[in-house]
This record gives sequence, C-alpha cells and structure tokens, in this order.
Amino acid sequence: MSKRITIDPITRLEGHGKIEIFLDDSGNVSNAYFQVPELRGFEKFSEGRMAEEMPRITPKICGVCPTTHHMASTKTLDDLFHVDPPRPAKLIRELINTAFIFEDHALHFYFLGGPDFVVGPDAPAAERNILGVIAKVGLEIGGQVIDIRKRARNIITELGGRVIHPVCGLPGGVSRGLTEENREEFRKTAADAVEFAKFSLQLFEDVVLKNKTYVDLIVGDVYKHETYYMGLVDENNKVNLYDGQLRVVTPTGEEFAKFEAKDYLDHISEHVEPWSYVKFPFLKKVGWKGFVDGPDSGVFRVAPLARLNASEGMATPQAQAAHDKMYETLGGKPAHNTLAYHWARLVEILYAGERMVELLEDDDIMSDNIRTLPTETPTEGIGVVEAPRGTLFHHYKTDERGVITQANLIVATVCNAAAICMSVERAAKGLIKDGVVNDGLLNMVEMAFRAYDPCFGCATHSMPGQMPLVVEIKDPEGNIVERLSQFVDG
Amino acid sequence: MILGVGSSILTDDSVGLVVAGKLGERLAGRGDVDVGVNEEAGFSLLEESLGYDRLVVIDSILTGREPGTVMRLDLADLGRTIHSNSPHGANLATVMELGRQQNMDVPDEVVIYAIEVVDVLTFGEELTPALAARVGAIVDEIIGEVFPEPSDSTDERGRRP
Repeated sequence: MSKRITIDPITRLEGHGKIEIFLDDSGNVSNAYFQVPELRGFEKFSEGRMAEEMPRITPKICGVCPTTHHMASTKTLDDLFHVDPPRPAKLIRELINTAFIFEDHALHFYFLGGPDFVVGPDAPAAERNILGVIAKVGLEIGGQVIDIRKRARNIITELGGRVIHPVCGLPGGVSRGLTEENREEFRKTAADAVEFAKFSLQLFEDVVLKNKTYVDLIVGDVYKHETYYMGLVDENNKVNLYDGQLRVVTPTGEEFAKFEAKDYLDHISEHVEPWSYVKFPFLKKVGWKGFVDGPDSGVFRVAPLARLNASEGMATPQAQAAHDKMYETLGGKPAHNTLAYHWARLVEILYAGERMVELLEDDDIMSDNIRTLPTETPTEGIGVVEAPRGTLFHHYKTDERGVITQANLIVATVCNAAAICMSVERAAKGLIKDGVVNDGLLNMVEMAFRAYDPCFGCATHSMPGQMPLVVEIKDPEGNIVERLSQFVDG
Repeated sequence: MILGVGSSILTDDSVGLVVAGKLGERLAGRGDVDVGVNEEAGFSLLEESLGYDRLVVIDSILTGREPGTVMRLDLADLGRTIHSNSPHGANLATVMELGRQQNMDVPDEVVIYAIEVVDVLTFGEELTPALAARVGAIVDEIIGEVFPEPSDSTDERGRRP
C-alpha cells in the first residue's frame, strides 16, 4: 500500500529549472546559466492533425497561459485560411485576451512578485508569499484579489466556453457573441478592474516607492541590462496586447524595426547553446554576440517593461499617466531596470481594465456578425499575441486539406531566456566573491528571474506543483562545490 | 471531491486525469462523491474544492521510484513549498490556507495521491507502457484508501449544504 513520505523537492527538479553558476580559479563567477525544461516532440505531436484542432490543443501545453495560446493559435488559423474576421469578432477576442492578462498580472503581483516588495526582499523566505502579503496589507485586500480575479475569469468562461481551455476561437471569427446580460455584468467587472488596478498602483507607491531601499534596488545596477525591446503596438505605436505590428526599439529607444507577425523569421533567429535544450531568440539583423547587453548584442526582451519600452505609450488615459510617472521616476525611456517589470505589470493591468471598459462601450461588440467563413485553401499561417509573459508566436504549415505538416511555437519565456541568464549572472556576480557565497544569493537570484514572470510551463503540473529554486555552484572543471536550495535553506 | 490534475497532452503528466476518469466510472453509482479533472493548478483547485468536506487530489510525481507507485501526501507534506519561487500559480497548501483566512468553505481534509511517473516532458496522449500497465491497480489502491468501508450515504455528494 502507499506510504506516507515527505517530498524531497530536489528530486522533482532534475532536468527542470535549474541555475548553474561557474566559478573561476579565484572563486569568482565566470558564468551563470539558467536552465528551463524543454518540452519535446511538439512538431511530431502536431503533424497529421487538422489545423482547426490546434486552438483546442495548444492551450493544454500550459496550465498557466492557455488563453493566450488559444488566441495565438486562432489568429494563426486566420492567416492559414486567408480570412479576416469581422471587427466584432476581433473585439470579442481582444476582450477575452485582455481579461486574461488582467487576472494573470494581478495574480502575479499579489501572489508572486509582490511578496518580494510588499513583504520585503530581506524577509524570511517563509513569509514571502501571498499569505505574507495579506498579513501586511490586510485580509480585506486578499478578498478583493480573489473576487476581481474570479470575475475577470468569468468573462473568459462566458465568452470562451470554458475558463481554462477556451474553445471559442475559429478561423475567421468566434463561435458566440455577447448577450446584453453579459455586457452589463462585464461592464461592472471592467469598471471594478480599473479601480482595483489604481488601488494596486497606489499600494505599490505606498509600500515600494516610499521606501528608499526598494527604490535603490529597482534603479540600481544589479538588475539593469541595456537591451533591445519588442512588443505589439497599434497604428499609433501604443501598446496593444492583441493585435498590431511588432515594434523593436534599440537600447537607446530608437525604432529599430517594425514588422507584421508573418515576417518574424526575417527579424528573429534562434541561438543554440550546448548546455541547454532551449534556443535563445535574438535579433537577426544585430546578430548573436553572447549573453551580453548593449547595441551590438541581438539579445532583446519582451513582456511588460519591454512592451512599454517598445511603444510610444498607452492607448488609455489613466494608464498613460501611470506610464509617464513610472518613466519619470526611472529616469526616462527606455528603462532598463529589470525589477521595474513589476511596476510595468501594474501599468498594464490599469490599461487592461480601461481597455475592457472601452471594448464593452463599443456597440460593435454586440453585433452578431462574428464570423467570416473561410473559403480559400489553407497553406501557412503565423499568429502572434501578447501573453502576460511577452510575445507569443504560433506558426503552422498544412497541406491543401488543412492537415498540419509543420508546427512551431516561440513562447514568451524563451524570448526572455537570454536576458534571464544575464540577470541571474549579474546577481550572482554581486553576491559571490572569492568563493564566499553571500547568504542573500538565493533571494537575489530569485528576484532576478521572478521579475520576468517566466513560465516553465508546462511540466510543472506534476507534484509538488511548483519549481523549487536550486543553485549549483561549480568550479572551473565543472565539479559541484556548493548546492543551494530554497526549500532546504528557506 | 476527487480531482485528477495534470496535462492531457504531456505523456505521463495525464495520469491524474486518466485515473480520475477510471475512478469516475467506478464510483458512478455512489452518491457521496464527485469526481472531476483540472488541467490548471493552484488557485483553481481551491475554487473547485469549496463546499466539500474532503478533497482528494490525484497528480503525478517524479522521485525515482517505480512507475505507478502511489504516495499519499497531505498539505503538511507540501508545506515546505509554501514559499517556493514558482513563477506562477500557488501551491495547494498556500491556496487552502488563503481560503481558510478568507473564511471560504474549504475542505476539512485534503489528501494528495501522487503517482510516480516516467516522462512528463514529451508531447503525447498515451501513458508510457510501464505506467499504463499499472492504472487498474492504481485505481483499486486509491479506492481502497479513500473508501476503506462502504458508504451508506446516497443523497449527499460530499458537499456541505
């Protein structure tokens, strides 16, 4: 019969997210690598399936961002079948994607990123969680987080068919529209979402920005990288989370490229390292120069701060004001401070709330013209959306019957993978001197990658359901000289 | 409430879903239990469990034991992961504690049956053979654990009024 055991989390980690720090002969950091698990066999798994299945299959890759996989896949089918959805269908899709980003960002701030600041980077690890946040800000706030998240998810459930794995997206449109009852309810949710976002920004200001230690940490050099940035923008170069063109800016903020999703292979290439299954995307026209920043390195970043950096602002007024305030504090645009991803995330939830209000005010969203039937032979399709964690690409090729012959995805965390390695290395270099490992190493390294809100997807369904942080420190010959685990030490 | 969790397209990661499916068939005649699946994790498990006396989660685990080995865990076993640095979601122990703090109607008892698996990184809809061969025995084992004696209750599904 089964027996009672105590989990040794480290066993779950093998082959999964892992940090390796290599020391030189003097005991100082020469390299630090952040490894993420690579799911295998997607191409083979997809081959032979009908393309229309992909929006229902690909969300199952990830229990974290299923909605954005569904949207990216649905947009890919639009391209594949050469069909342009009617405007009401686009509004509905954008509403679903925006509701998802709102609730995911809110969850990240309060459950995952917030603990670093609200509870404090120096607080014991055991307190740096949502329970610690609530202990500090009050039980009522916890209830508000739960309530607004539930209501935002209800938008996805009602319109998407199912909350976890939406099924509404079809090539050329969506399967159902809004009822008047939906609209009335969602309007209240959207209005409350705006207020919740404003409250969250105020909380950030009160707890973080009024604390000089935290501000110094955000604007300091430990987590700073001057990279390129990429994100979707609308026709006015404002942040858009669902549609538009991809805009890339240089480390000094000039527009470097602006392109349609279908041209992504002209701009993005993938670098392979022998120590990782993960390929590291970089800007093709700059080139791969290693894990370094600066204008000569093709490393680029995605996700909230990158999206704001790559844009000329926010398309809604209150988010624009929050955007301006953030850059004023950070000393101008683009901002290179990785910890400012948390702040940018809050600016985006305000945008998401305001955008939901706008979408629901638009009478077109009530139209029953929600589908353009595809009539052309499918060939090849590329779709892109902004996921909470950054730009997400889907790319399929089919035969003339619409049967998948090739499929490829570039997920957001992979776009940020090189930068995450760099951030981890920078933190490690600051905390390991002459072979002495500072006690704060784990916390600081953890903060370095958590700011990106990376998603290792996918395999983390398995117990214990989360990825413990393990750091291996190796000598120049690759022998482990120290192994640290947040579980063990925390 | 019995809840199988995992991903249905990552080979053995689906074992919780597969076993829950079989349990659903075997327990269909009983009035005192609901059986479901959840391909998400963390917070949604809290939402699904509200109003039930007892939550039984079935999931996969990798510890190097024989494939199909069933390990019984409770929230205390997960407690050490409460401050884990997962970039997303929150673990079961954390969300249950959060639910209690918020006066939500969380189950009095949470038990996790973790099933040793082989491969959760390859896309596929079939379990690896060694694990697939054990599914029947796993189902028997979990039923024996969860329902050590026959229940007479027929009009309640384990959910509190």
